[in-house]
Amino acid sequence: MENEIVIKICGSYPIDFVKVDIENNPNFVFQNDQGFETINVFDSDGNTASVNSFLECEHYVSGGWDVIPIERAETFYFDLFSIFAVLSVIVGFIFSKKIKIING
Amino acid sequence: MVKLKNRYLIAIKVVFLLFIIIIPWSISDYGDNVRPEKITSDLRFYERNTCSISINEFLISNPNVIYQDHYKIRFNNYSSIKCFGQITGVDQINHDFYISVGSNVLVGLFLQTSFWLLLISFIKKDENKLSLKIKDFVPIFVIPLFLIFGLYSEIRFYSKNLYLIDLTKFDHYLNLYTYFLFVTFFSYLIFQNRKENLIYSVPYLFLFMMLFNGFNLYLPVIFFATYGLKEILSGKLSKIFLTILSLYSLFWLYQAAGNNYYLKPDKVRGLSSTIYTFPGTFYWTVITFTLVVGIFYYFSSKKEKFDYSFLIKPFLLSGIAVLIVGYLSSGNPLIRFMTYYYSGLTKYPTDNQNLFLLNEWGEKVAWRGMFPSAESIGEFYGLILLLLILKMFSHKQISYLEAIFSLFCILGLYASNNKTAFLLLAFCILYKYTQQLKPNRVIKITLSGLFLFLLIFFIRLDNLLLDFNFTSNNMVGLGYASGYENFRSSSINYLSNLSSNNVIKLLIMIVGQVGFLINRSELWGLFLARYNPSFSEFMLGTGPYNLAKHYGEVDIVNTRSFLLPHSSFLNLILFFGFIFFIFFIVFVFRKLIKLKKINFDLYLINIYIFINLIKSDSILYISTLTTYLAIFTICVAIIQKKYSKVI
Repeated sequence: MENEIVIKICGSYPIDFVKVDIENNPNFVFQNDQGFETINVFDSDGNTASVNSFLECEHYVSGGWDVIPIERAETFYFDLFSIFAVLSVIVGFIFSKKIKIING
Repeated sequence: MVKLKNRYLIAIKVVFLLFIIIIPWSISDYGDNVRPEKITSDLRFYERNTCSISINEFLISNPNVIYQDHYKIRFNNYSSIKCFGQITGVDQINHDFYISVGSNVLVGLFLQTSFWLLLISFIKKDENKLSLKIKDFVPIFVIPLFLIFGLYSEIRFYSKNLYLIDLTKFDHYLNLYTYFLFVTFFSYLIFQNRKENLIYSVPYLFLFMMLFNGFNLYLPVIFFATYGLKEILSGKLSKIFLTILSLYSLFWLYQAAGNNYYLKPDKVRGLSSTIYTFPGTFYWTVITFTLVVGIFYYFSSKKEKFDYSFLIKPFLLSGIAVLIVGYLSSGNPLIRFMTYYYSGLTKYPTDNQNLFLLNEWGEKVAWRGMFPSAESIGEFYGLILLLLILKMFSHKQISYLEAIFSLFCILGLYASNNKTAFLLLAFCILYKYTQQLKPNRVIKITLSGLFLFLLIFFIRLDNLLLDFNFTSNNMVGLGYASGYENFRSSSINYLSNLSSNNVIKLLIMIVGQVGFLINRSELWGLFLARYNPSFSEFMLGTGPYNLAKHYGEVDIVNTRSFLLPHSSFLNLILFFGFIFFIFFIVFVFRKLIKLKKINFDLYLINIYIFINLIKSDSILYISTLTTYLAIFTICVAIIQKKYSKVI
């Protein structure tokens, strides 16, 4: 099954992608994919891993590794600002009708 | 209905303004035990501790940074949201220290919008309450779409400013859309509610240019474009006009397809396309058109009365504020930093503290203060003085305060070293005097002689005595010398190969002679060295605010700085082509003739503006563009009798 976070970080699933059971193979070695641009993924402690193939990327991301923490924080702020902007517009619209300024 | 007393509302706004000025630059993790150190040549501490100390915290430990001018506080736009207002690095170059402060542009977008709209909200509201209808909401929701399209089209410029915003991802555009919706909605609400009084507040645009930090966008552009789109959708524009514009647009888009010239916008950021591509041309065509329509309809809508003496107070206040803030900024790094941000300037205020500085040849060095262009600010001061003098001619009392303020404007005009503005001011005064007081022939001749003396004094007698053949061909000659042999512009090739008995040659020689006398030979020559249109581009232009092709297409010798064409007329030919330019001149000329019969003072003001435009880039700055367009638009409205009363 395709994972949305995997697609977001690693790109679209290759057509011929086959998920390999890596956990049960202690000698498994990821092969570099020349056509895959290296991506850095991070764990919650800030440790970095550079992944060089879609399979490797999918494996790490499925295991909880994610984008750079600061990017995660920025994305959070981007969404927060969007919510603030939309709410402000709604509130601004309602209040522009409800408030009356009187002299004094 | 909630009723709020006006004085409480003002108090709330003032508190909020102070909050916006102080708090964002004070936020820091005060529990992290990282305390700012005294700044010395050993800058390792600041290399290790980036984004840990707020600028205000830093300034408390280093108060000398506030007033010593070898410290330069600079914005670091490409920094995270969390890092906003914090020190991102300190560098030393020779004796100067550059202190970088995180200034994420998205935070800035909200901060600057709130600050400027709060300021505008102090202007008195109109009697008629604004009630938003569907026809208002359509442009409010559509313009942000164009704005994010603008970000997409100028991706090269924005990728250096938008931290971790990926302009290839849809969800980031969604975020950006909501931010621009916020700006568009609130600016529309605030501007529209103050239509009657905002006319008289236009001069404050010289104090607050309202350019968003890190964006190629002004706040007034957003509002006027929204308003313009509303007027277009209401069907106010004639179909013929729209058809002609569409044909022009199609030509510009066709020409732009396949091109990719980039321009670092420098001091014309906000009103200059950074890229000459198909999407870039499309965006600037739409924005410019809606902007101009917006300004036109906003200032010409039917009103009770127009009293142009009401303009004097805001002009004077803005003029004195621009001068004082400019002077304070020149010697104080903190004020310079704050002025740049909260005024929304295209360029940091000058650090030249001497308003009377002369160069090694004893010539006056132009002082621009906080405004990006000394020439345009000189025009502004000249315009204020002209308004004031016209008021005196109409037998209205000049208050002591106005007289004192006018001294500051004289100082501003002198400091800017804009001789044309000064001469035009003198010309307008003499013209008004002879027209109103009808002096006898002797006085007329004396005054004309006096003006001629002034003219010769400014042009310098030795310049007048030079060989005509040299002076009139100097512009083209300099343009030719500025190019490279292997690839010269089509215009310089054409002009330098004209036969001497050609009528165009004669016209160019006249332009060259005028250019020489007003010190424009080099700048107009450089324009010609770069100007490389095909015949159709010469006739129809390359699109609004497109300087990227002009500066990117033909390689010329290195110039001392980013030199603009220094003529709004040349800019108009470049953007819209020769055909439009001729129509524009004829249109303006006809309106001025009508205006002269209706209101001589407004006629003089327009003469002052249009002659200045021949040798300045004022249409490239929002302050001058809006002010001049507003004045001209109001005059057109007066001609069309849209005002019940004109005072």
